[in-house]
Amino acid sequence: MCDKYSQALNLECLNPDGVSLSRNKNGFIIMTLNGDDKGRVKLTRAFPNDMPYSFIGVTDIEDREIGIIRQLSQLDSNSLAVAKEELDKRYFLPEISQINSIKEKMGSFYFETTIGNKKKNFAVKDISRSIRFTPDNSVLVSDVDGNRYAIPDFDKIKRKTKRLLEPYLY
Amino acid sequence: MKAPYAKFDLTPDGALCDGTLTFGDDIFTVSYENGGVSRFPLNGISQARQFTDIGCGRLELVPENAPDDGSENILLCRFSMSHVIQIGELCKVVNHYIKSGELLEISDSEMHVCSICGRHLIEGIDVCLFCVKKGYVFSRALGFFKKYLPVVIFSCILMVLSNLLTAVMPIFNQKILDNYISPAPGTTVFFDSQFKGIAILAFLMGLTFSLSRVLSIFSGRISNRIGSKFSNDLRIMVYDKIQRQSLSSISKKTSGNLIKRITKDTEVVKEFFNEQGRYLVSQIVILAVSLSMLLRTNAKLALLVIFPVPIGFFAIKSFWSVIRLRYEKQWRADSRATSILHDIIRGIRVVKSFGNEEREINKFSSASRSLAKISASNEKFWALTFPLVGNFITIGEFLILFFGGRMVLKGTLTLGELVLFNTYLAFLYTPLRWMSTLPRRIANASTSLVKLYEILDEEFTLKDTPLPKSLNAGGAVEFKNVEFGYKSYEPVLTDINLKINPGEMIGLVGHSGAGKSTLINLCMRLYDPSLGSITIDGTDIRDIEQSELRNNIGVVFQETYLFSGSVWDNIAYARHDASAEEILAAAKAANAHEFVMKLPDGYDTAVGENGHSLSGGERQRIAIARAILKNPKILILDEATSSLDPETEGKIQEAIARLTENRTTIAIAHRLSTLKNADKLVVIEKGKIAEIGSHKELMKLKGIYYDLVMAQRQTAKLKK
Repeated sequence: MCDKYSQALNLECLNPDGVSLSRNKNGFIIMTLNGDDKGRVKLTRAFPNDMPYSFIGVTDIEDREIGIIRQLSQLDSNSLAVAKEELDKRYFLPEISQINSIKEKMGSFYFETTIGNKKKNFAVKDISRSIRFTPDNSVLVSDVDGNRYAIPDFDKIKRKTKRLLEPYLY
Repeated sequence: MKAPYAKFDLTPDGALCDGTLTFGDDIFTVSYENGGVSRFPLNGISQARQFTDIGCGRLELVPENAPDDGSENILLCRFSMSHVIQIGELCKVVNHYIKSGELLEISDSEMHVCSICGRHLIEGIDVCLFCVKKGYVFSRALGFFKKYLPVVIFSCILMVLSNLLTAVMPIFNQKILDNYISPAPGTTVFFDSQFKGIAILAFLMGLTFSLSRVLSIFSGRISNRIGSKFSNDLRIMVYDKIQRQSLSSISKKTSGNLIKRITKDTEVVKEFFNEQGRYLVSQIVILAVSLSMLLRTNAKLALLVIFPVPIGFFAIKSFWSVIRLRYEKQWRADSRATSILHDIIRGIRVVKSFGNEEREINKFSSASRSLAKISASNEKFWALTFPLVGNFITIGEFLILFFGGRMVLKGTLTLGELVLFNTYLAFLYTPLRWMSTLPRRIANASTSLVKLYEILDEEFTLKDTPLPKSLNAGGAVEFKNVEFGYKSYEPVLTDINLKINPGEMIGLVGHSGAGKSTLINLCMRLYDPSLGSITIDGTDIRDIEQSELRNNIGVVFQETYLFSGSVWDNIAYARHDASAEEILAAAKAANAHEFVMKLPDGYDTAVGENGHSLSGGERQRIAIARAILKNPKILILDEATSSLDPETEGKIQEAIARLTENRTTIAIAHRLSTLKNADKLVVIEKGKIAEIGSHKELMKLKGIYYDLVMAQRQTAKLKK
């Protein structure tokens, strides 16, 4: 439940004991809230970078908010697994394991990277806005198509990747 | 016809894959790279619906009679944002097929990939930056220069002559030294003839020098004159193109970006062709002359000085990439510190009112410290490496002193020849140093050129038809099956069918983001609908010349923009030939006349940039006067009174009542009371017309409009 201050401001926190998330036969996530069937729902992160599994907004398919789940970990194990899987799918953020080259061409930057074991090339236009170094030491890169990529721990990445990326992290 | 298809790259579980989605024979075929294939029949499907998540999207089929919550939808495929446009196109094609039975082709332009390397093209840049050839970039730019080419060639010839004359001067030096000051042993010379010889050579040297300077000054003057004209032509060409582009093309770029292209990029191109082009010619001449003179004077010594040059160049090139990255880092740190400063200074009232001075001081100090650290490290690196490389290239100078001096002592080289050699050596290093910075200059110029080509090559998305129909606007407006989205994969308006009779006032009502402003943008033809048509008096607006269409439509926006100039200039913006009496009458009708007359300079008052010397209500009344002066058949009011106090709004409502008389009016207002005079209210909800009727009819219906009215009454009560 939300605290009194948040309740007064109309923030509807859902009681984790009353929330049950599962998948229907078509693979979509559905919710029952205190035994009431809410149908298909959508899960949205309030703080995608800092707290990916806390303060999760639950809305219907037309984006009308049903409420907020403060901590996913407070849900029962089945609901927790379903919610985590859904969020990781909805927030597609492939992890860059290595940057092989960054080539500047007339003001745009072409990245050649390795994601998992696949080569992935993409272009970045406004590099100072497209690369973000977050306080938790991860790096987020957005390309011209609107895709996002992550380097979860900048300190642990290979030296070459660090050297190539460092000039753009300020 | 090829079956419509789209690529996708995610499995239903969100793993990366390569897949193709094809639609044909009323069946969707989803095939994966590993050979897996699934088929979904279209039978019983009401629509295909694309959803965008964060960094990805999905395509679902909505079965007929399925519940609204989407729980019975069928997930066809998931995809990253790289495929969103193509999937969106396929979705549109399928939905059109479901409605009409007609199967359209997917347009290739929507695929937006480079045909050579397959890389995605960057939005707003139609050429692939990876594949575009620098040669093409520059040869095309020469085309802009064409009409000035004879004069430019003349200027280059003058420059070459000036350089040749400068290159001759060391020979005079050598002659003075070898023939008169230090003649070869055994040569008999007389003081008088020596003095005369020195005087003649010194005179010739002075003459050559003066002539060289005069030619150089002439060349510079011609070049500057041509440069200014060229830069002016280029600026006007780009500006003209931007003015003629559609709003959708212009909106893709920020105003700062467009201004930079008109001012900075044209200047970079001018500078490159005007200055660097001229230098290139002259530096090549100097290089060729000094090299040949060095070889001619003493081939062995010449080879001695030339050998470190390629090694030095290679070293510079290698250092350059390191230096570039280091300075890139410094540039970003600098930019970050400046932006923090800019942000804090602009928001200083907020900082102070929240008492956050300490926090902001720390934020800026940290950015500034970081900049200082990077900058010191770069200075150290630069101070250590560059002179080393520079000295390595010019190591020949020291070698010459040693070997050349020895040759003079042995008598195999004269003193004059040694001096001549050293002078040409200095000549040789100037173009070499300049050329080492040439790649960077070429890169800068080609970047600017490509950005200018983007503007110049952009096709007009809203073209006038070759045989436009004239508009005798009675003012009947009709939307027929209109569908539109700013992004092809995200429809904002669907199934819009609306008939507005001449002289009728329509009020558009709905939640924010419902599509009301989009509807009026389409009516003004700032965009074209992706499906359906809009007619005025039965003529499709795409068949009417845009200037004529807009002459018949007057608009008052919520955010009024006034240009720098007088009140008079701003009202007359609607009709430049308006008489003084017409302007006064329009201002009077707009309830503006009263306040304008109180101003010390009356209608001659300068309103300042965006009318900053006037209040919001005053600016709005001038905008209404502008619309009245235009006397349009169709009037569009987009939240024209929403941000005003009740008294000012009352005055503006009076003005609007005069303005809307006998005109077809489409008005958007959040404050529903302002639409009390509307003949018909149209409620837009999620891009569709949800309700149409008079105030009474809609209140009886107890639908969306009723809810909106009730919500506003509740808010009004709370305010009291």
